[in-house]
Amino acid sequence: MTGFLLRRLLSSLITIWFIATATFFVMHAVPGDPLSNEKAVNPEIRRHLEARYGLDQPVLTQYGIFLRNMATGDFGISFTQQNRRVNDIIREHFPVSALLGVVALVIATLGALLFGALSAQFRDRWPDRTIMLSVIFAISVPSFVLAALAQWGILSLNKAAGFTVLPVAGWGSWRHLIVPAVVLGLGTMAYMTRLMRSSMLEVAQADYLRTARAKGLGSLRIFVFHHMRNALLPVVTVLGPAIAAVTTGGFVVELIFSIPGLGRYFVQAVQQLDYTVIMGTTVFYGAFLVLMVMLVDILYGLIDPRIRVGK
Amino acid sequence: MSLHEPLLSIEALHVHIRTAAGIVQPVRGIDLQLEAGETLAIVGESGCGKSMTALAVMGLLPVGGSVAAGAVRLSGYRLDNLTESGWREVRGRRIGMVFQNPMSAFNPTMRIGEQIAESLVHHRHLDWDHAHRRAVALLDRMRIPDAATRAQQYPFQFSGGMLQRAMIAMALACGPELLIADEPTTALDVSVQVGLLELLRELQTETGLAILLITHDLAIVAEIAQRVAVMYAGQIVEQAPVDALFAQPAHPYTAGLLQSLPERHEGAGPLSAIAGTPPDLLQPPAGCAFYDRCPAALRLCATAAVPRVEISATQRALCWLRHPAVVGSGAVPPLAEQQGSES
Ligand SMILES: Nc1ncnc2c1ncn2[C@@H]1O[C@H](COP(=O)(O)OP(=O)(O)OP(=O)(O)O)[C@@H](O)[C@H]1O
Ligand code: SF4
Ligand SMILES: [Mg+2]
Repeated sequence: MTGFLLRRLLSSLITIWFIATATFFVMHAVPGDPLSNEKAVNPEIRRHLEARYGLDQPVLTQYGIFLRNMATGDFGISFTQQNRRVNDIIREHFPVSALLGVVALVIATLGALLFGALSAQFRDRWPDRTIMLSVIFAISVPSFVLAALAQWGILSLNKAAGFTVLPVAGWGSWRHLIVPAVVLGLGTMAYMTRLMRSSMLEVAQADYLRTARAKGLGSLRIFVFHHMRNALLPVVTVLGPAIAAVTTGGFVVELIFSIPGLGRYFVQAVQQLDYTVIMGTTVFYGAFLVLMVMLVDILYGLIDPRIRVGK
Repeated sequence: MSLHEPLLSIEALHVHIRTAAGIVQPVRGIDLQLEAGETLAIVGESGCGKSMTALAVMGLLPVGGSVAAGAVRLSGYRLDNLTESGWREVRGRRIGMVFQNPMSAFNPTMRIGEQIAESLVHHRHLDWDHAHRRAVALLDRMRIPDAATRAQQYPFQFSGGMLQRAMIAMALACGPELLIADEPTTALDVSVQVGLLELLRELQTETGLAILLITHDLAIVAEIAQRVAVMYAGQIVEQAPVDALFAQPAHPYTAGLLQSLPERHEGAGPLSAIAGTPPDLLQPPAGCAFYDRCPAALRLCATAAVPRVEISATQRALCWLRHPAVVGSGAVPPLAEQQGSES
């Protein structure tokens, strides 16, 4: 287990380094430089700025400085927001994104387990058909359309009720949180529901389930410890991709619902070519996702003894 | 009801499995009785309905499967029309079952000890601690070395032979009267097989357990069983005490099986497995199911429903050759001569 952890940690670090390097060179390859955005910069000021940001150095030197800064967790200063350090932007706005993401993921996972198990239990009957139809809808409709639909729904609801049942956008209370979280988690929930359903159906055919019944055990024990527990394994393996989907999906949802999360700042930074913010948040998001995938792997190891004990 | 009830009684049992292609009939009218403490073996080649018979007794037929006719009784009580909660009182508690493939018959994410202990917690209402200790004792009784450590391990850490023994421990945990063992020795090497059979015999003398042993290996039958039922295409074609069956097989199929035993094989030629394949159980033939492969077939075998003939008080066969009308008419030479003339 310790060896497994160390190997996993090392490969995570290499992946993060790779993401940072790719970010750096891709940003260098895009046409223009951070200063070309400003209209008619005085050459002297321009030189001064270039020196300040190290842009007059050879690329490899810049890369070295960049790596050193990343390694010490210093992401630099924003180009477009006066005197704001990228670290502060992340520190301030990431918790908002994280809260939204966690709630979305919890809703998605619990919903998927419930609906997946239900639809397997009622295979080919109306609950199954209803759920599977909704799944196809949720997977095929893009999240910005879902978000718009949800806002339209809230508006109609508020109008019908005559007062503000739920806010249409903004941030501050659980009432602001709940609809964006559902919208954000819906695609993931749909995908995981389908997986849970097929996994439940597969385990239902397994020899060991017949063994459990041959022992005359109670149906609840069979369902929880023999059926569910084994059906969960494939679902846990997609938690990593699910976290990635919720994180990247957050960019759009935060924008539409005016939620002051890091995703919204990232999109803004891209629009404004705010180099330090783009690089800082990209590397941060990359590292975050790599870390999450690693945690999911460890979680999987805890659930599946063949991995935990085998290694 | 008669005074004496056999422990297990299977009466005119028919099993149907509904599939996309039609209704499969893996069991077509089986009669079997098993007394307490007795070992009865069911033999027959792959696909003849051995496992389906066992699963029907346990009420665990696959999806689409059902008992279409007949009855299964345990000490006189009907099993085949039990409710789910009624079955829970029987399964694991009065009948233990050992499944065909030990590798896939254990829950991969649960410790072996817990899989044995959970039966005890459920049926005997032991607390988990106590149940775990009993599980370790059972594993130890099955000659699994270092049972306490082994009980903490998962199925993938066990070898096939050990899993097989752990499964017997699991099936016997609650002290059932009947053990159904479906091919308990396939996929084991010979020395392990012998050890397992000895163990079963020991347990039987200790506890008075009855065993319904399913196998396609006649050598194992000779080793452990008192009576044999030979199955072919969903029917029992011959039933007899082991000695009688080996000495004087009454059915041509049994004779063929015996001939394919290595130690009975004379001459240098290859082992003579019976040529041909069994009939389609989607559309079983009207006459004898063995007709296509039978070296002694008569013309009437193809179309006339085959009679069950009592050879002796303990031996019966499903074959026209033994029917008094055929034997008395002198129309056919005895079985041995006929086979001899063919080679
Ligand atoms: N789920 C199923 N659906 C349809 N047909 C089935 C199903 N399971 C088994 N059968 C058919 O029922 C027949 C009897 O199967 P069974 O498993 O009882 O054979 P068996 O004698 O145990 O063979 P083996 O020695 O290979 O275990 C076979 O012909 C098989 O094709
Ligand atoms: S009934 Fe006829 S075909 Fe069938 S086994 Fe007997 S002799 Fe052969
Ligand atoms: Mg079988």
